[in-house]
Amino acid sequence: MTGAAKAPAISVRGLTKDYGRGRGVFGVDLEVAPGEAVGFLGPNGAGKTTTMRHLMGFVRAQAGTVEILGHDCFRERPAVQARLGYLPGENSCMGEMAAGAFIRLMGDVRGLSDRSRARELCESLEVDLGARIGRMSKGNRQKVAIVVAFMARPDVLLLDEPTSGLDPLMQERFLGLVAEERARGTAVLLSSHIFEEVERACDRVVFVRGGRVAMECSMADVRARRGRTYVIGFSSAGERERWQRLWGSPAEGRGSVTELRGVVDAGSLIRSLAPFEVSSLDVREQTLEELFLELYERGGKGPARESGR
Amino acid sequence: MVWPLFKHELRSCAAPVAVVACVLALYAGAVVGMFDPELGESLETMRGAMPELFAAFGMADQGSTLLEFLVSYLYGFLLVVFPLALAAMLTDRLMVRRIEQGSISYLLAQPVGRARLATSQLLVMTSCLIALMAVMGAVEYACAEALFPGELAAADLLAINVSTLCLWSFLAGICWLSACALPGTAAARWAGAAICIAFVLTEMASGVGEGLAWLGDVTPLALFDPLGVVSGEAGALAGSTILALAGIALASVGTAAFCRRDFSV
Repeated sequence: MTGAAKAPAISVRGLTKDYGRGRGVFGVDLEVAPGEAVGFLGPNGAGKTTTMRHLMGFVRAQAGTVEILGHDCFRERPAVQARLGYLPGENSCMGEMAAGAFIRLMGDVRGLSDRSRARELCESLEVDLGARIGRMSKGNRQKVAIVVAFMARPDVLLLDEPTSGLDPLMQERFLGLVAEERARGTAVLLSSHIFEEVERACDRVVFVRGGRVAMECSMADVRARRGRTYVIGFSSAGERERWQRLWGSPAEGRGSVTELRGVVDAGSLIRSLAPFEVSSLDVREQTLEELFLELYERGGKGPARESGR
Repeated sequence: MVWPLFKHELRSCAAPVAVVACVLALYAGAVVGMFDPELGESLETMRGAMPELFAAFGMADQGSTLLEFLVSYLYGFLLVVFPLALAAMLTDRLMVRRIEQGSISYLLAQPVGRARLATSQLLVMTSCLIALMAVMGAVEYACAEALFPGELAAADLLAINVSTLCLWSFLAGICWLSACALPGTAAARWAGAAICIAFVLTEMASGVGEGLAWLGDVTPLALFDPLGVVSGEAGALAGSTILALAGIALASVGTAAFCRRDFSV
């Protein structure tokens, strides 16, 4: 964890909430330091949103402690919320209101006197303040939610699927906003199943699966671990099979195309392809998701917990 | 209370309150007008032909004064059912729909306690019901003065309306408790209103025949006796007080449940 000397802005210890039939979170530990951005990743139903709800004080923990800036998230909700910005996963702004009126109302309820940041954000994200939220596209509603989450210059940001619905330009601007907040010292917990956005915004990543933390490592560690994926197109399926017999190690293939993951020695691969008729060769870096799956599978039956800290 | 939220929600609830107020004002004007002795004889004839039906709708006794006539034809059914529908609609709008649609998450994410949030919403509903009663009282008195000057004492009308407000508080309290405490939105939306409707139907059934008259004493609506309040009967005054206190207690329990419950939003 970066900034290890600082007291964590977000601290989750042994969080458990059992909804039955394996649903819920079980003994989740998580820490985010001031100025740090942590990606909270996992498939649907992994426990990301449940953890977020505990941090927001929406749900009372069955066991464990959930604290933000030293305050218990359920018992001391107002003290926590005063320094917290939250972007819900389900975009549920009050649809009957115009965007400007909604942002004003949230500022009024919060008792926000300085609205300059809200104005900056509206300009930066090109929010149509006069439009009714219920008639907006998903992306435009998300922009309104981003303004509400960021407008009070919070010390902690909880972002649940933040770029959902945003176009690439707005995704860039959003990532810029996150970087600005981090530079100011804001702790960011970004829950997502979009690995690329986490990869770009965060310096540490926590994977959850089945309600448990499956793996935790720094992004630098992730970059060092991952190999490249090669997608090779052969002239025919027979040609692919001949090459595969020579190559030996397992590769995913269908028809005339094969995919090799985690290749580190590119030279030997290219030499092995030389005698064959290759029609195409695509190379891409292994995604965070692929790395997670690879590490998860390597852990055997249960999830392996590794720490990159 | 969270004042900006209160103002916003009050504005958003103004339209349904205005619609119900208009409908009830129309009925109130018509009922006052029906006090005309000739029409009264016609009504008496109709009531004689269908005594059970009239009794079911709380119109068993026409009464000899305008006040008794109003209580019989307006406060026995219309001023119970319409405000109940309004209270159910307001709890839905202020609480159930906010939870169902998830917009409560934005309110819960603000640095105000849950008790303040819930109290704000509850006060919106209370204000709407008081406003409705104020409008009804004003319309009734204005119509009575226009058609039958001096026939309706303002103090008596006020006593009846305060007593009715106690009943509304009880009904609204049930709806509020259901909206705040029940985890499923369908149950939260309908359970409170369904219980109140069951009370009303039971009360109606008690008027149909002598064999079912005992039903009139088994629901909390039996505590509602507006004419008794006007005449200062201790039992009627106590009944209205109990209804009001029960309404406050139910609303408080609902608010406490809102403060303690989990929200999957």
